[in-house]
Amino acid sequence: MSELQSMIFETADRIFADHVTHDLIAKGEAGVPASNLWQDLNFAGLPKALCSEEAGGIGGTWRDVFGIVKATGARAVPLPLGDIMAAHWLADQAGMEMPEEAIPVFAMGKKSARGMTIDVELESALPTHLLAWEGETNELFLVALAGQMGSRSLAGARQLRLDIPAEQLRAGAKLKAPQLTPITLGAMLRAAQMAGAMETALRLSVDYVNERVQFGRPIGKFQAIQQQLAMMSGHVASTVRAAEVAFETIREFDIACAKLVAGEAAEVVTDVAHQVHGAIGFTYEYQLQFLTRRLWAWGSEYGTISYWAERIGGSVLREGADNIWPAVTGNRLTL
Amino acid sequence: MAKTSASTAAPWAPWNEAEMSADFFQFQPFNLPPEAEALREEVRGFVAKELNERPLSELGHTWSGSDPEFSRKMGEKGWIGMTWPKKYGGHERSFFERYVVLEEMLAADAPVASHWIADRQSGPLLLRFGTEEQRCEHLPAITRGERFFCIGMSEPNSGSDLASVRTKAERVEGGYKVNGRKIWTSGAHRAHYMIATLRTDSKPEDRHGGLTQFLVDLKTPGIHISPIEDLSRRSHFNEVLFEDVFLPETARVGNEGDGWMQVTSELAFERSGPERFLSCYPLFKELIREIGSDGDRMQRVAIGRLTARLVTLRRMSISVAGMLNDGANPALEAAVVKDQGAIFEQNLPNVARALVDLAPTVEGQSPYQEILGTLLQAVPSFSLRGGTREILRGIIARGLGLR
Ligand SMILES: Cc1cc2nc3c(=O)[nH]c(=O)nc-3n(C[C@H](O)[C@H](O)[C@H](O)COP(=O)(O)OP(=O)(O)OC[C@H]3O[C@@H](n4cnc5c(N)ncnc54)[C@H](O)[C@@H]3O)c2cc1C
Repeated sequence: MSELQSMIFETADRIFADHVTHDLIAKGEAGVPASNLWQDLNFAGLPKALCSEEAGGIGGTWRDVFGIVKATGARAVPLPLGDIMAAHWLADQAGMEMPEEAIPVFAMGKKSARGMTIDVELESALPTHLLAWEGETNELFLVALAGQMGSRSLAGARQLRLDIPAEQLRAGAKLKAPQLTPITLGAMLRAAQMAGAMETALRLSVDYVNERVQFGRPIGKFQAIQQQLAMMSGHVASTVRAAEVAFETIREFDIACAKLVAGEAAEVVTDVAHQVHGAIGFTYEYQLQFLTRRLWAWGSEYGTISYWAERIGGSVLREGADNIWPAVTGNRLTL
Repeated sequence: MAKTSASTAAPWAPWNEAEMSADFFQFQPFNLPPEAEALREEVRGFVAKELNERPLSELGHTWSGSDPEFSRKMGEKGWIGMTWPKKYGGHERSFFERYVVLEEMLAADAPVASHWIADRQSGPLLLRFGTEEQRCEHLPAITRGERFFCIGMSEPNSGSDLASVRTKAERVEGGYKVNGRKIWTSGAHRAHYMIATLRTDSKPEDRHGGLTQFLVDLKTPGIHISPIEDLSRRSHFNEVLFEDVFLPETARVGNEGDGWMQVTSELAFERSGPERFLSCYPLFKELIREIGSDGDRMQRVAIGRLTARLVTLRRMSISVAGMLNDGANPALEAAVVKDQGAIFEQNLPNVARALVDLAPTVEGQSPYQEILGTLLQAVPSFSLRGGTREILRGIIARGLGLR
């Protein structure tokens, strides 16, 4: 990690550690905003970590904030810091003014004949605005939230679909030739969060099996347990590496791979982590559920395994048998 | 629910512990540097020239297909012993440059088996533990692609439990006398030397400490090599019988009793390379050709899943190469890549069969069917050779802090 990376990571992780408890996550999922946590993060300037210094930011890159986004997953932080950073980043990229007190989250927008549909999974009651990115025109729209309710995701997020009539639509700004699309930006964030959640699920599992005694010894001494955790750890390692690459290159193809690998790994991780925990891991009181429920929820957000697989596979087939290897080694595969 | 029932669970609320570290692995980010990429075109040109018009039966064997002439030409190119010191015939190139050569060879399905073991395992072993004499005698010949090695670890009664080897090297005047039997020795029939792990001290309480490694000239009287057919009737591994074989003192590699330590470090070299996920690449390529440029949804989804895994494994493996280049010891990371790689490779032929309705063949007409036939019959060995899946996962489990 570079100096900037470790500085902002340690700042954020310290704040998470100070605030995020079982109780806070439970309250967050029930719709209580984590205001104190937000105050500290805001005071440290983290929401604008990706904005230029002229715009009041830290001037960090996505690579610089990978550890933070991953940590929001690792600690099941009840506040969508990644989505908020993304919104500020987009606004900054497009030179768009953000109202002083606004807490914006990134959302996907899609123009229709009647106006625009915005889809978002809102992980906290804290945000005041959506910053909707319309993928075709690359316009950004700032939409105030007004306590809308939607169904809830397994991670406790409000799944909102807002239909904004055309007469109320006014674009705030336009992105010039963005490197990403709305769905890849969202997938990148979720891949990192999933990587973090998996790391904690693995840590919890290892610690648990080393302590839990059955048949007169820690269950971690049993080969059946060891084999499962070893295999699971490989999936965790793959997810972390793939997500990190996505944050390094910010290439759509790498992001698609990261979200896909995370989705596949999540199936193994949720299965094995619960298995080795026995009944205790199936309770609300034990914290594993905060992670596994998020893995289930995030796996469905911003593209499922099949969605990304089909896009990657389609592109590989178009490339053709003899061009694949040069394209892999030249990092030239696209979506 | 009663808190007491949870007291076995630790820690109850990791969210509060700033020190909570979930970092089990250190896959540091590395990219292949420009000088390594520069080599790529040269390697591609070389294989394109050397490997045109091969019979179908030679396809799909990747690093178990051998051709001494090809190895010699690779030696001429300076692509064997690439990272070794110049004074031993090496080329002092980076691990990244070596990585590029290896992955290009594997992707091209090149017959690299003749020199593979010497380049990957035996040479590095001699560099670390051999005498100056042994290095000068063998390393330059290895780098020229003229001297081939095999690995004598397994025995009929010692597989995963390698420390139980019984083939005995007894001290005699001027050296050792060896009796016993090695088995599954890949390439012994075309190798010049074997690195054999033998028992020099038979006290049962010292299983590990009683092992010593030797450099065995396979022309020594008393050595009998007989081929073993694998399930497809190919003969690439052998049984090697030792009957009163005399080895001079100078054949010993390292100290008496250091064999276990040396053997485990040797196995670490074996686990880290691109061969752990590229052995099936030729099938992947032909599968894409068979499907064609569109494919149906099921085919696109399946190819997408394979591609994402392949690309991710490659990134992890390059990261391991980078850590080796920096002098680190990424043994745990290498084991993880091997395990994930085997999952990928063993799955690939099954996925292919689900996508394309063409039977595997052994004396067939199409490259796809022929490679599928070869690989279906080869993949069971991918989680056996170099340490079984179970042994590997045991090593990973220990790295995680279990047991
Ligand atoms: C193609 C091929 C090439 C080879 N080349 C070489 C070579 O060049 N040189 C060489 O020395 N050897 C070579 N081997 C041998 C290879 O190293 C052994 O096959 C391997 O170490 C396993 O030993 P084994 O076959 O005796 O199986 P065993 O050790 O008998 O194992 C059988 C099964 O039991 C499992 N098992 C064993 N012990 C345990 C345990 N403690 N816990 C859980 N499960 C366990 C194994 O994982 C495996 O599934 C080669 C093997 C193959 C297939």
